[in-house]
Amino acid sequence: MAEKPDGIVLKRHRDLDGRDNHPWIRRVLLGLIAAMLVLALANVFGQRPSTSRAASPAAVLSVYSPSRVRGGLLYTARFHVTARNELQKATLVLDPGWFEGMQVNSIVPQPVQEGSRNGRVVYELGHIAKGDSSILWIQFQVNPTNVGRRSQNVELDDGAQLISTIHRSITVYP
Amino acid sequence: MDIVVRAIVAFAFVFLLTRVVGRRELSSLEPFDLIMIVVIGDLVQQGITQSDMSGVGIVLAAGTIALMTVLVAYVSFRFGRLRPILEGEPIVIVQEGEVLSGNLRRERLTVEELTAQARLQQIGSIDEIQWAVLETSGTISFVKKQ
Repeated sequence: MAEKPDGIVLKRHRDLDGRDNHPWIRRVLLGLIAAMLVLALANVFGQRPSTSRAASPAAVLSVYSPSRVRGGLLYTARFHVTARNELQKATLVLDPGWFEGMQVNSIVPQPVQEGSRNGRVVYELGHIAKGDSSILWIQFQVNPTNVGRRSQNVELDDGAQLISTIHRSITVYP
Repeated sequence: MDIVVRAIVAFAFVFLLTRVVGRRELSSLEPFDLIMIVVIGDLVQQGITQSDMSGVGIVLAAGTIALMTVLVAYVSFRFGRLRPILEGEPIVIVQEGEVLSGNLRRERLTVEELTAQARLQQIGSIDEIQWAVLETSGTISFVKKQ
């Protein structure tokens, strides 16, 4: 047999002695990458929006917004109030988690009044007649360093009276 | 701090990708591969710097990747036992004019690809090859029969 090239160990490099499991290691690692992609398709890493709903005899409140997002993403939250009874002073009270580490690009339409209540953000939507509805859109961008999980509860009040509450949270992936 | 962590994660992920995709994919640089390299580079850059457009950001990101490259090269140089993990190992695919089809199949290489590479080295027939080795870089080195 002709002399083998320098640096080549026939048992190791030709007969692949001790390297039987290498293709499997590679397949497992590729499988892990593929699994991440499947999880992403299943919305594990966001940003598909979902609807949360709370109904009371006075009104129905629904929030359409993603509960999982990633740093830098733009997304819209939609707050929909349908009055079953007349609401004199419909007011949305949002947890600080809606704004912590988020950039608010726009709020449409502008609320009648804005304020703060115990660290929560208050948007007054104004009067909603029985059977009517009011929609508020807020466009956000996630701060890339805003990683973690935060409460995004939404409360609907009529003046000082609590109508309904939606319990939500948002998870921000790096 | 974030940008450094993201650069380390991106480096580790791209390094892992190059190790798991196999040498067959790395050895060729067709137009499609070239485009994919540019696309992956752009995607990785966005993930690392995100909205940071500062000069400091450039220094941190590029510096981290340069240091990681040196670190991997040093670890590979200093610790021989880790070298096969970090760089892979060569595989003999032809010996004395005979194709080792099991080894070829393992790297998803066809005989046609092997003969094409041989032609690039002015080797017209596999019979003329004493040794052909798929190197860790993905290229095939040939030793002709005397």
